[in-house]
Amino acid sequence: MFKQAIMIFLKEMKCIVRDTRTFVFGLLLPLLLVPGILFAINFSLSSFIPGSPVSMSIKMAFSDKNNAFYRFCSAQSQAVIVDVQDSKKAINSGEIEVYVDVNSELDKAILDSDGWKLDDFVKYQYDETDMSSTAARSLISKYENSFERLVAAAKDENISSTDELYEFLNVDVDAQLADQYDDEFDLGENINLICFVLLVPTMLVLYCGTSSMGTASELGVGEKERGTLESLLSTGANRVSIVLGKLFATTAMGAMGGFCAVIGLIAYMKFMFWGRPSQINFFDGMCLVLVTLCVSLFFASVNLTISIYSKSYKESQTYSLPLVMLCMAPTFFTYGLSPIDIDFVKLCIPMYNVACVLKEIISKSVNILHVGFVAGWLIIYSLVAIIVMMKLFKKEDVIFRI
Amino acid sequence: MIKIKNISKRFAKTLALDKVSFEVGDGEIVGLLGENGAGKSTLLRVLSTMLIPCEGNAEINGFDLLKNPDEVRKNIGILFGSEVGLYERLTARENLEYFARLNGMSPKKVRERVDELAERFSFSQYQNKQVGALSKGMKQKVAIARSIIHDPCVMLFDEPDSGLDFKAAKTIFDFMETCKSEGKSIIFSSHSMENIKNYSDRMVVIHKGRIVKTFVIEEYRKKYSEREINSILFNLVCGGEEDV
Repeated sequence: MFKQAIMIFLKEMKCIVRDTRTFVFGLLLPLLLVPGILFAINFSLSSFIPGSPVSMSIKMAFSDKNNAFYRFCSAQSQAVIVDVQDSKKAINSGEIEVYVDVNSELDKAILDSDGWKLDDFVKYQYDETDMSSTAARSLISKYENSFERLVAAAKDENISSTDELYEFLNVDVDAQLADQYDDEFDLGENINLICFVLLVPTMLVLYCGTSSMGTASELGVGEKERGTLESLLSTGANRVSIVLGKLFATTAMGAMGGFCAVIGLIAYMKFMFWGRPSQINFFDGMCLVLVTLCVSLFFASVNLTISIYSKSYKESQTYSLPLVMLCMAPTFFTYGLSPIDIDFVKLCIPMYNVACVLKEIISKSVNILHVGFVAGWLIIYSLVAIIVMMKLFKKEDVIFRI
Repeated sequence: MIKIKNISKRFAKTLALDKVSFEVGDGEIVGLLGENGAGKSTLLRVLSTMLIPCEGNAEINGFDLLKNPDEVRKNIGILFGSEVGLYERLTARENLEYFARLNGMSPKKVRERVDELAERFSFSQYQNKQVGALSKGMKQKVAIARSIIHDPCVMLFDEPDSGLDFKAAKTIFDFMETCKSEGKSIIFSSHSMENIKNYSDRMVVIHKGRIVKTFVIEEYRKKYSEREINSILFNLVCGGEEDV
């Protein structure tokens, strides 16, 4: 029986490899599309958010220039002070990113008291819907901290006049801030990290499903439509061997599609931006392979069952595509989930559990029990689908749809 | 040898075959004549074990249809007219090898048999071309070779003339004659009176799943003119009486 199944599997693989359309859409597309999506996200966001504070400039305007905070900001190499008449108009037109309204009592408060707070004397106007404006406001928060620290140092030096204070505040802290940013936070890298963690489970499920969907339709209902099914049924091959051979081929295509998506993603990370995903060790890699194979087996068995039941290729696609999309949906619910919060209850939810273990694998907190548990569930779902498939393949009214 | 005994087949509320019985001897061609939906293809599907009869049984070369379906399949070859039943992305040779291996032939025997059939049907020079790239006539030759790759002693032809031009149909009927001369038992279905009259030794007229008449065509030729025979057949196919 298995000899015949392997024979059928090898023949199906030969046909698939020779079919350029299936090959391109099933394998090449996920390999290139995932890096393409990631590149587009990164490119799009990096055009709004300056990647390095060193290269960033903040276009700002002040309501009054005779105050300590203006003096401090104007000393910063990245601050570009602009004179504007109408602050709102200037922000909307992009002439400035932040408008700073400083209370004229600020200097007096600094020199005369110890309990002052900058927030009480400074108000900001900026466009919350604009990424550049928001980023500029965020950087000014760092200026506020530096300003307050410098003022405290000035008071320790017993500075008592505004001229001495202005002289003391004439320090460019941008270079120090830039070093601090480099050490603590690289925005581009973090976007890639977030995309990687979020995209891997979703893309893997999507491509295991869609890659096996086309193949299943070809090998199931496609065989009926091409008129080769009757030739096949009239040979010495029994129906169980035929179904198994087709299932192996569909699973292989689904798994290859899933692997191509992940390989594309890892390659993008490794060569374009960031090396961490390439540090996935052999054990993690094997867990990833196991989960991918089980997900592919699940989709292959379900898609092939649908295909065998369908009257036409079109009908098969009509049922399969929404099913794959439906299976993708639970993976979105894991976006905010931390790997440490994953428990066995969550691992019982179909497809959500797949995204959970993939998250564990990516974040290097693999739990072999979790992987085995999810693989077990997927095998159970697949077995149910295979039993239904076998029954359908033996039913005359399904095979011939009379 | 084919022995069909009271075979009935029902699909939901439709009785597709109603107690069909007849025999086909070695080296005999039996033509199944009937209009579309008469039950011809259903009978051939039952005989090739694709469908299970609701009642009755058949014997193919001594093997019971219900008890030994695997042996029955080894003893039958089936050919369809409108569909060649070949995989377009495999070469002609790969197609033949695939079906031969599924029929349990050893690799050595497969090689020899494919070489022999490629020579016999004159497609040796095209055998390594993908079937999708072959002409319709050439595909038909490969399909014929596919149907006899395992050297069956019973041949079933399901509307072999359907959708084929004269030349391609002639290739099939010549092949049918060859099978007859080799002593194979043959059933072929058609809704073409002319082809049934010209190529079968015996004719079974089927209407709404029931056999309405079985006769030897040569005996009718002695009694009636061709025109009268056509008139009789037309009446029978449409479910009428055997009136001239």
